[in-house]
Amino acid sequence: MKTVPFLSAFTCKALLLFVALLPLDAIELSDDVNLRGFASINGILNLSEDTDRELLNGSVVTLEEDDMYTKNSRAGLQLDATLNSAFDVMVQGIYIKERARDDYEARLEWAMLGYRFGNDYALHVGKMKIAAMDGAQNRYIGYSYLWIDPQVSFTGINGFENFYGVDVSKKGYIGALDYEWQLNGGKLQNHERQADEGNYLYSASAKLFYENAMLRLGAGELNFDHYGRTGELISKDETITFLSAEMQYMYDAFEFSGGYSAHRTDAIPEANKQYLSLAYRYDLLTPYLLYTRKEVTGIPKRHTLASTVPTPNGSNAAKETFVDDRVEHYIFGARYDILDGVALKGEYDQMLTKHPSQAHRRFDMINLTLDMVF
Amino acid sequence: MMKTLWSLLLCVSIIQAEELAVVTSAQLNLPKLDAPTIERLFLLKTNHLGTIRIKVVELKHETIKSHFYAQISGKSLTQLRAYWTKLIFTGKAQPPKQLEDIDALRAMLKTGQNIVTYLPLEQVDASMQVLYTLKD
Repeated sequence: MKTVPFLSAFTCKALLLFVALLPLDAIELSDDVNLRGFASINGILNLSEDTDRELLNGSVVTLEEDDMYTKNSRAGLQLDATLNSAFDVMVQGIYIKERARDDYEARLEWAMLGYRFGNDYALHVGKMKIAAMDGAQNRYIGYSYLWIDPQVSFTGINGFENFYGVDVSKKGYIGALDYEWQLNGGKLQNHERQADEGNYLYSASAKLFYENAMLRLGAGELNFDHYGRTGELISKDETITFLSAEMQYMYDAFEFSGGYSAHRTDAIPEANKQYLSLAYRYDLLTPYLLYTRKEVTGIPKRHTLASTVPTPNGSNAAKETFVDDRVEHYIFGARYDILDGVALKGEYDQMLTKHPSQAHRRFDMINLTLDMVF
Repeated sequence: MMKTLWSLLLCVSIIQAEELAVVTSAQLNLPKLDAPTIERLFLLKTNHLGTIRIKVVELKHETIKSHFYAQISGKSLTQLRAYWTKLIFTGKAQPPKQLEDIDALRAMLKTGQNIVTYLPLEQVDASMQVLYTLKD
């Protein structure tokens, strides 16, 4: 059994910060200005003999690396200012480590000017996050969702989550049906795979609420220049179209949720992501089951050009580059809301990976996270 | 000391009456509201009544809040906190402003802003208009 440095330097610092902030609610700097924050402290215990983990698209990381154990450790601060009845400003900074980087870094996550007009219309301009799956915008705010973000997340679009641009939204209702729609457009930014240069994004999403049920639909297109890990340009103007559908239904103390997203492109293998979750709220304790799956399949367009060139052993080059990767998480866990704004989550996570060049692999992990918001 | 007395008084009110009133300033003359509209306003699904822009505020009092949100939405305070968190950290909305005591609430209602709030029915006075009454 491999044990891990559960209390890394970052975790210790985050724990101290957490303890220092524990008694706080939002800090009201004035009538119209609030300072809020969030933090997550995460650790993973790997129960498997296998310590390597192959991520999709050939990214290989080792579970012994310290960063893997604190992937979900992060902290953030947000300043909200209401300028007048129509305008407001929101700025959010985050201290986080992404898997493509060596160290934690502080970065601006949101920075936007909002203008609310008409009957529940809102216009935002600035740096924002793509409204794809519901979790795509809240991914770093662990307190806002039930489980711990899996090692292979089911949100995000090829590492693209942020953009600089414009967002228009509208809330309303028709009879007992509440709705909300949102349109995004702007220039992409990729934090996770720094090498890729984002070009444009446009997307639309709609949320419908009826009694205890919620349905969310999203669609969009993004364009980027794709670079390899060593910085070489692989292809320009690659376009991904994406679709997502997500639902949540609450019956008595049961909460069921599920989602599916599909990314289609000629340049890189196509990806599908799915999740299903069932939870039971028992006062402050909520046990849950979560299944997630990420599949990447297909032949990248850039490789089909080589398909006419025979390889030394006579096989077809395109066949060799066919990608068929899969990562699944089978998770059983529980969330306990210790205090107002503080939740402890513990999970048993079985991760299965499939890759054409390797036997199927299994990793058993215990995942613990303390999430807080103020 | 006064804050403690105020809290005790409110607790007694809520236990005895178990009735909450959604109110606004009597000067505003807003229409009566129904339960779905109250839920939409306080869960920030809308900030309008017709064409009138509304600001919701509430007392910083756990017992009353818990009672109110359980009745209008079935959410516990913990679920509510998670719900607010999604809205707050994506810039979609700010939760209702929390006021320390009923004097601050009364003062805010008198400012002439389009404020909607809730409080124990027996705390309602002539300066307020009752828009909806929640009963157990």
